[in-house]
Amino acid sequence: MQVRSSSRLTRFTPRDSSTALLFIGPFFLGFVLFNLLPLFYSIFLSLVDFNTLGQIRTDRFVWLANYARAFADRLALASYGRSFLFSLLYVAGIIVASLFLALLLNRDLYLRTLSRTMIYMPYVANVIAIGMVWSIVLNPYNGPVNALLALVGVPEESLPQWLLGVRSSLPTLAGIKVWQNLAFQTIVFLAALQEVPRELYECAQIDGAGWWRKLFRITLPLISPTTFFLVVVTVIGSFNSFALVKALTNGGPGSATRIITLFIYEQAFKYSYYSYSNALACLLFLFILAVTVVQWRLQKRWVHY
Amino acid sequence: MRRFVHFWLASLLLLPVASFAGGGQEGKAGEQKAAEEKVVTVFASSKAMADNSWTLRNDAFEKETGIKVDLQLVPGSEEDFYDKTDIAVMGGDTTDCIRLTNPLNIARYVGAGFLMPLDDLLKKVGSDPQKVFGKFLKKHDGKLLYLPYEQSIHSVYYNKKIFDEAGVPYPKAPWTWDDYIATAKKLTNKDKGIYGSYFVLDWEYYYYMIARQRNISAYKADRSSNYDTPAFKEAMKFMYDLGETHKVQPTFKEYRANKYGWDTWAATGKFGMICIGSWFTGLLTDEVTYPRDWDWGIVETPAAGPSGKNNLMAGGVWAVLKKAKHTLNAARYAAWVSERWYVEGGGIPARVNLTEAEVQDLLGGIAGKSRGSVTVADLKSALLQNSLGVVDEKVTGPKAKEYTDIIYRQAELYMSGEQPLDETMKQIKEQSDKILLQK
Repeated sequence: MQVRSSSRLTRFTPRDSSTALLFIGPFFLGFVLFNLLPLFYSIFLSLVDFNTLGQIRTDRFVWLANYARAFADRLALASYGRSFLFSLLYVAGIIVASLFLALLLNRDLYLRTLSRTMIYMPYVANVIAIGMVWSIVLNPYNGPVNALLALVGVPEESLPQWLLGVRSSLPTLAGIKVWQNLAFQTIVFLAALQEVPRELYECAQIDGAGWWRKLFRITLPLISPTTFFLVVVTVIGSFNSFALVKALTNGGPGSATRIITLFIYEQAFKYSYYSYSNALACLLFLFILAVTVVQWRLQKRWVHY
Repeated sequence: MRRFVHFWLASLLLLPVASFAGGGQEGKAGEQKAAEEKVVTVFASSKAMADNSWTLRNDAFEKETGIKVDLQLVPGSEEDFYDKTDIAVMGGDTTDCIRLTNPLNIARYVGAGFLMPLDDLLKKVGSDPQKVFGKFLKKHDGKLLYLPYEQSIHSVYYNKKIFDEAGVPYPKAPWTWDDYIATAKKLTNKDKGIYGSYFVLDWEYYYYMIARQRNISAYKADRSSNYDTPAFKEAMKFMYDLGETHKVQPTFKEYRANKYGWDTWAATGKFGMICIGSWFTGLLTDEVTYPRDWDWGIVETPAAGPSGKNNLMAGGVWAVLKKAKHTLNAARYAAWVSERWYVEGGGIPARVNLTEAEVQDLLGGIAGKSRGSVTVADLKSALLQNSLGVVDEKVTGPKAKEYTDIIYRQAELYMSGEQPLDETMKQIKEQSDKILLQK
């Protein structure tokens, strides 16, 4: 391959460009067909009045009326709020938990391979199976968790209701989702930890640094690009949570866990408000985009390349 | 090389276009082929696919008509069935027949224009729906859009073993809900894990059952919610009290925690009584799916006071979808299956042409399959010849689906002890008015 270097950019030859196009073509085609086109169609649908069950009618433009409706809909705004709270709990929980696990696995641990396998198993488990298992485990009346809490002296009236309580259901869901998805973040953190030069720890050891100081002065700064990547990806993923909520609580009790993705689903498929649900989805997209942009801007303060 | 690459990329981009084109050319030829095919396609849920009665029924249809029944599986729960069929039908799916089990879904599909008028099709296949279904037929703008396959009449089913062990005489009509509660209290035995009563707390109509029995509409004349009427508050409190005050059935949280469902009463034998539609006889006579070592009885629904001497009724229907590929086969299937649904599925058909002997046979069939649990006389007095009038089981009207979902969500909070009753009724009224009065 002939490579011509410019002062700033390495350019491909026309032949190399063709070869590159050949390789990315299939992905690009799939991306256009299954991501871009549906996205544009969704935006289009959000601008028309297609809010009844029946023949697909997209000839009546109402422009931003569906968006205005979203801002006036107290229930929709509450769902966005719940999603935001869910995201806060989930992202904080998973980043801390996966980092902790990665730090543990980065040592010479007895049964390390078995531990890694066990961490990975929830990630590949079926969400319905996860729902059923956790429903049994967290049964406030007959479940083992509350039985254990009662055994250690927690009074019956103080036992948590877990998935059945209005206040406890959303944090419980966030906790289950953390458990389910720990594997990916742990593995990525583990890879980042293994890239940190051991000499730095040795030097710090010589200088008398303790474990916490090494963690905050060496480990966290050096893995900060990875942390940033995981935070961004996890935040985006958390706003798209649907399957676990649908399987475990279906938005209940009441609307305590009716996060925005579930709300959008109901508006579209239960009440046939197709344009309105597309407007809600577009607003969710803009919201996630705004959060991502803010995170991108703030990275200069704490991410060290 | 460049030309080859450009040609290849262009081909890739054009491939989807080419695959969608040319469909129209096979239109007429396809229609003719479809007309000749001895097949009918039917939407079926996962539960239906596993249901023995569906298999028996479809086998009987195939044997009698030579038309193969091809079930189109709609995966997922019963709850999600119509979410998916809505999209399939809107997207131009050519499945022939669909069963609509809920008045809300019937209203939605009629309103959406998804159903094919049956009048001419039924004439072509030699079926006379008026003769078979008579007063149970409903027309919309003068068109017959579906055929009723059952009339689901509520009654109370009871577990005779629980009654015998408690030494309580079997319930007799006429009776009231106070009598029901008193009976349930005598049956409840927490030590043995027995409750005297069971209601499917996932179904929203139970939370306004008492009000419906008094024939009070959920809508005011101006289309707003009638939920500020005291009867609805009383109805909501009735259901709460069963679990929390009288303690004769699982509380809502227990119900949810233990994952109880619509068939728990038949599957577990741990509950004394249940008030539910007559389709339930299908479960009680299906000992393959619901094996049991106890007998069951039946008695008419209790009255909700002097003004509440009404029974709740609903019914399922079969319809042919507008884009059906095999229209005549579909009409034949809809007519056939509506007429004889009860033979394999149990329940009471919505037919007017059954002779007294056939009614005796019908009820005798249920009695026979019940292994002597009930007699024809028991079934007749509970289901057909009782002291009650008839009202619609569910709220049907403008935006009924959203309205009833609001009722259910607020009921969930109240039943879980998370929200007081007055606040619950206020929220239902406010939230539903917002939906109902929206232009």
